[in-house]
Amino acid sequence: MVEHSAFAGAQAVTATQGGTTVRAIEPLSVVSVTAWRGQEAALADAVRATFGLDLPQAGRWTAHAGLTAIWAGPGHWWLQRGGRSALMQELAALGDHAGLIDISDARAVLRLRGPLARDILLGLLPLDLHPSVFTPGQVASTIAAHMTVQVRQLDDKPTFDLSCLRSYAGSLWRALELASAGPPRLSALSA
Amino acid sequence: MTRISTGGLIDRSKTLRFRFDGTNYSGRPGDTLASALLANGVRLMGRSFKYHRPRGVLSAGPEEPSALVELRSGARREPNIPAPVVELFHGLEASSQNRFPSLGFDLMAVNGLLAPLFSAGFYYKTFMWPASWWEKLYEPLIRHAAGLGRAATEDDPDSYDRAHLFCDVLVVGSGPAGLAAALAAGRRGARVVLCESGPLLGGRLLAEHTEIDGMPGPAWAAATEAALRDCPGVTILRRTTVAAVFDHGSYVAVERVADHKPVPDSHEPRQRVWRIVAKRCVLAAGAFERLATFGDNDRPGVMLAGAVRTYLNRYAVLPGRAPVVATSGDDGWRTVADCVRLGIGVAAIIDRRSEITSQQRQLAEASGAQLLLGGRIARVYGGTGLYGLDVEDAAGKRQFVSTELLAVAGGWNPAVQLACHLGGKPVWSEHTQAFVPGTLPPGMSVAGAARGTFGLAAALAEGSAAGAAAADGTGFAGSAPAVPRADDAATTPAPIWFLAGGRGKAFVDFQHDVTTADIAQAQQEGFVSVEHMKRYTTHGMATDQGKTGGVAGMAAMAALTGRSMAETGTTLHRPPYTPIAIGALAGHHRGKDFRPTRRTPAHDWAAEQGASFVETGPWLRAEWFTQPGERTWLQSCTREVNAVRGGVGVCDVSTLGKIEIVGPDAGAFLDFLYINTFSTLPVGRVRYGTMLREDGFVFDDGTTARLAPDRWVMTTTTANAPRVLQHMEFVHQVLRPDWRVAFVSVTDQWAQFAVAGPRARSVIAAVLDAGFDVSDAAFPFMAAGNFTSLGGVETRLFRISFSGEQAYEIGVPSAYGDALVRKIAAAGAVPYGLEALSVMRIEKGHPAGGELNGQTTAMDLGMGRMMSSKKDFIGRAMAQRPALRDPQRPALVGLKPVKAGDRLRAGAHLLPRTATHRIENDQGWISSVAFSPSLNSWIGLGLLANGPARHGEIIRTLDPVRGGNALAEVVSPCFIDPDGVRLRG
Amino acid sequence: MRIPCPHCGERGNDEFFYLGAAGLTRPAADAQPEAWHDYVYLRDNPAGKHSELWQHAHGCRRWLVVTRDTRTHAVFSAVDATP
Repeated sequence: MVEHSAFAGAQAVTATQGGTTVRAIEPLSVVSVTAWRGQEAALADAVRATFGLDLPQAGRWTAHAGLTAIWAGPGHWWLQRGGRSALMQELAALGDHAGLIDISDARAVLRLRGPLARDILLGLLPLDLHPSVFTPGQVASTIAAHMTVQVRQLDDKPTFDLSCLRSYAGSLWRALELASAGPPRLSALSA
Repeated sequence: MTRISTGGLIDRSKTLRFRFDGTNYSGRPGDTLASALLANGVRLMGRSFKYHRPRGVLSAGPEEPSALVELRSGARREPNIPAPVVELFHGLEASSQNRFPSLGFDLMAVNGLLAPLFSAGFYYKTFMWPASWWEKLYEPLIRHAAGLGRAATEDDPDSYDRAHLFCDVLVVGSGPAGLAAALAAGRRGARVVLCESGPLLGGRLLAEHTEIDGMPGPAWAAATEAALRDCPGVTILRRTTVAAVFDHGSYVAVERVADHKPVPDSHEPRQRVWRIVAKRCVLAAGAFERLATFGDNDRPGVMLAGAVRTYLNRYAVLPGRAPVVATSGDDGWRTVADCVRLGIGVAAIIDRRSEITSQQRQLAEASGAQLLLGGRIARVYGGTGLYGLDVEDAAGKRQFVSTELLAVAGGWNPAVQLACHLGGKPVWSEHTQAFVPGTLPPGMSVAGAARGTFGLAAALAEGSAAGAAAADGTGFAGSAPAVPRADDAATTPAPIWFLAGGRGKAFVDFQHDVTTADIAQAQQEGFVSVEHMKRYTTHGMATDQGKTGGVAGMAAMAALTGRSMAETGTTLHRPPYTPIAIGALAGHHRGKDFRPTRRTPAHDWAAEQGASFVETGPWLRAEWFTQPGERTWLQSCTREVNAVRGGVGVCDVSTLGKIEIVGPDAGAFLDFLYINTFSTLPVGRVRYGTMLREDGFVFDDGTTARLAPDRWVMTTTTANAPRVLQHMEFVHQVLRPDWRVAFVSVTDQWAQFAVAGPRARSVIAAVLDAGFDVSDAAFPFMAAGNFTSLGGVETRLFRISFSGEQAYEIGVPSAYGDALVRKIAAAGAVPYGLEALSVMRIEKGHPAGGELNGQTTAMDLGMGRMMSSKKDFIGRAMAQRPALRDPQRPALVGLKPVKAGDRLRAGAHLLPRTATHRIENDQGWISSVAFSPSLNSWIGLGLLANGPARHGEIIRTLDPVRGGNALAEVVSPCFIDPDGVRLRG
Repeated sequence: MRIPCPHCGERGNDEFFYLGAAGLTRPAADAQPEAWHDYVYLRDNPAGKHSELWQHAHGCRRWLVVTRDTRTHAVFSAVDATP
C-alpha cells in the first residue's frame, strides 16, 4: 500500500456502546476555495452554474451529485469529494473568483454515528449539539482537547463528521476514545 | 445504638458494613458516614487543626468544619472529606485525621496548653525570631502539626471526565424553591438543568417535618421529580455541586459519579466536571445554619439544631441522649417539636428571648423540658464528648443539666456564595438577620432560603416565580405556574447568637481553630477590616470557607468595634464553592494524554529506525536515531552528521510551517510581509526571506518558492508556524483587505523530507518517477518545481539547503509520506534527526531559535542588506530607529574555543578577554552551541557587541552558573564551506 | 467569557486569540517616527469600554473587533475587523 491512513495503528471501525460506531473517512479530495473580496456572489453563481451546487451560508454545508461544500469562514469554503480525484483541475475555472488550494491530505476525518453520538460529543465539544439547536446541514469549528475540530452533522441517526489537522489524527482518535469510554453521561440524550 | 426505631429515609432491610479507625460498624443504605457513626454511638470523629481539640460532627452537610475524615486507603486515600456528605457503602473505610497516636488520646492536644504560641498572626510574628529556632524548632513543629489529613502518595487509579452542557435555565439546588423553579421552567418547555449536590432531590424537605400539597415533604419531592422527568427538556444531575460562576452564563459543576461506590464501575469516571452554559440561572442553594459563639462551643455533642433535625428525620438517628435545645429565635422550636413528635424527652430549652408564643409554651410542656427564657449557656462539660451543661436563667441562677446533645439554633446564613463569584457583595438584612445576595451576576435570580426567604410557602412561591421568569426570559412564555401549597406559620428569623466572655475557648472557625480571642487580638492590632481580620487570623480560610463560622467571626468583630453588621460587612466569596479534586479539573488530560501531539506522516518509520522523539511544541520530532553500539546521543548525532557530509542523509522536515499562497496580489503580499522582494522571483525559483514584527525586530524566517505565476509556497520555522499564519491573516484582513490573495496552512498537506549530502542528487533521481532531469543545469541551487514520484504521485521538489550540502527538500501529499521516506532510505540515505540538523546549521551559521529570540534585528543577524529600501514592509519604519542600527548592538558571530576540547555553553556571557567578571563588561551571549564533527571541536554562535568587526579577537566566555570559563576566538558564523561550493555542487 | 462571533455565534473565549487594542491606523510608509511610535507602542488602558482585536482562531479564523467593559467583561459588540 503506497497510501497510508492518517489513523495508522487505529482500528478502521470500532463499536462503542449501543450500536454507535466511529470510522475514518479517507481518502478525500478537498480544495480550499477563498473568494476574492467582492467576488463572493460571482463565485456562488459559478459554482451553481457549473456544479448545480448552492454554496452554503455561514455555519452550514450543502451537497449535490457527490460534491460537498462546507462553510469554513466568510467567503471561504471547502469543496470536497470522496476518494482521490483531480478536484483542483475540476474546479480550476473558479480561479477567476477565488483562490484554490489543495488540502486533500491536510485533514483527518472521523465519522461518528449512532444513538450515543451526542452523549459522546458532550465529552469532547464545547458546542450545543441539542437537536433543537444543531441539525443536519450544520457545521461548526471549535476547540476540543486543545485541537481545532470541525464538526458537521450529516443526518438524524445522528451522524457527525469530526475533522482535525491530519497530524493530530491520533490525538483526535484518542480524545474520542476517552470521551466514549464510560457509560452514557445523560440517559436522556441517548435516544 | 441511637437509631430511632421507625422513620427516616434509610433502607432498614439492608445492612452495610464499614470501618472507622479500624473498628467495624454497620449502617443502612441512605446513611451518610456521619449518620451511621452517630447511629453507632460514635461522637468523636476528629481532632482540630491547631489545638488538636476533640471534635464531633456539627452539621449535616458540606459545610461541616469538624468531622473531616480520610476516606478509603492506598492510592484512593482522600483527606478532608466531610463525614456528613459521604454516602455510606458496603466496605467503606475511613479514618479520623490530625491525631497522634490515636483519636481518643492525642499527644498533640498539648497544643491547647501552648495556645499563646498559636494565637492569631502566629505565622507572621512567632517565627520571626530568633532565626536559629526556625530550623530546630518551628519548622519541625509546624511540619508535624500542619495539615488536615494525608493525600495519597500513589498515582490516582481513577479516571475523571469533562463534559459540556447547554441550557436555557440552570437551577442550583433541589430544595423546595429549586424544585418549584425547575418545574415552572420545565413545564414551559425550557431546557432546564437541575443540579443537586446530594443523592436525593428535596434539600431541607428531606430533613424537616413538612407538608406540601397534602404530601409529606419527601413524598412531594419524589412526585415533583417524577413530574420533572416528564418534561422533555429537563436534565437532572444528582450528586452534582455547582462550584463556580464565570462570565456570560458559564458555570462549572462537579458530578461525583462514583464516589458513593467502593470503586467506580469498569470505565466509569470517578467524577465529572460539567461546564454548563446557561442563559438564566435560578440560585436555590438554600442556607447554612450558623454556629453560636460561647465557651467550648466546639465540644462533640454540640450541634446545629437544624442538623439535629436532619439526623432525626432523614436518618432516624438521635445524636445524643437527653437533648438540650438552645435557640435565639423560633427556629430551634422546630427541633423541640420533632423531639416531641418522636417521643424524645428534652432536658432543657434555652430561649434567648424573654417572650415566646403560647404554642411554644405548650411544646415545652409536652417535651418535658425545663424552660429557661432569656437564659444562656454558662459552661460546657465533656472533653471528648458532651455530658452536661451549666445553664443560667434570666436571673443569673445557674444549674447543671445532664445531656449528651446540645442543639443550637443561632440563625441561618443564605448560601450567597455563587451569587458573589463575579464580584457582587452580599448585603446585611436586618429583617432576615443575615447577609443576602446583593448585585447578582447577569442572568441569575435567587429564590428561597438562598435569598433569605426561610418560610416554606414563601420559598415555593419564589421558586415558581423565578423559574417562570427565567423561562420567560429565554423565550418560553406561559401562564403563571401553579404554586405548590404549604401552610407553614410565619417565623421570626433568629439573630446571631454571640456571647462574649464565658469559660473556655469560644470558636468562630472550627476548622482553623480561630477563637473570639483571636478576633479580639486582630482588632487590637488594627486588623479591623474583615478582609484584614480574615488574613491575620485565617478565619474562614479553611476548606469549609467559613460556611458555619464566617458570620460569627464578623459578629465578633462587630461587637468589639461597636459597629453594626452592615458596617462590618463580609469577606469576598471566590470559586470553588466546595473543594474540587485536582484530578477532576485535569479530566482526561494527564499522563500521555496531557495534551495532544502532532505526528508527521513518517513517524512510524522513524520509530522503526530507532528514533528518539522530542516535543517541539505539540510536534514529536526525531532527535536522533540510535544505532547498535551507540551509548550516547552525541555518538548518534556525530555519526549522522558525518553520514550527511560524507554521503547522503534524509531528515523529516514535515513539521516546518508551510503556507500556500495564491492570487494575483500574492507577490505584493509577500513583498509586504518580507524585508526582501519576492514579486520579482521567477517561477520555479526559491528565495530565502526574513519577516519582521512591526516594531522592527525579526519575527521569523524561511524560504518561499514560486510554483506558478500566482502560486507560492512559504515555509516558516516549526515553532512560529501558527503565529506566522495569524500574522498573515491579520495583515490581509485588516491592513490589505482588497488584495486578491488567499492562503491556508498546508503543513499537514505535505510530507516533506530533506535529502542532503554529496550523493543527494542520485537519491532524488532514484526516487522521482523516470524521465525527470534533476541535473545541476536543469535544476540548480534554489530551483523549485512539480514532479511525480511513487508512480504518478504529485511531488514538489526544492533545491534548498540548511546543512550546506548539496540538498533537496522533496514533498508529497501526506498519505504518501511513509512510502516516500522508505523509498528515500532504500536509495541509500541515512536517517538523521533534529540534533544533526541543528549541528549542521550551526556549522553553517544559519540563525534559528536561539538567535530568532524576539530581541534581534535583521542587522544583528547579518541580514541588514536584505532590507529593501524600495518598498513598504512590516517593520520597515521601526527598524530604521538609530538604536537598532547601532553597530555596538550585539550581532551574530561564530565562536571557536582557543583550547582544543574546551566546551562552549549556550547562555554563557561574552566578555573582553582581560575584563573583570562584572555585568558592566558584559558584551553579549552565546546563543547556540554544537560539537562539530567536521571541525572536531565545540563551536558556537553568539551575539557580540560590534561582533562582525571583531573576527580574530580572543574573548572570554563565562558561564558562572555551570562553572564555564573558556577563551574563544571570534570567527565568521559560517564555519564550513563559506563560498557555498558544496551546496551548488 | 463568551464572545459572540458575528460569523459563528457565541463561543467560549478559549476559541479566541487576543491581540490588543483595535482601531489603530497603520501610518503611511513615510510617516514621522512619532506616528510609528504611537502606532506600535502607545495604548489606552481604559477602565470601562474598550475595543480589542480577537481572532476566532479555532472557528472561522476571522479577526474581530470586540468591544467590552474591562471591569465587568460585559461584551457590547463583536464585529468583523475588515475595514
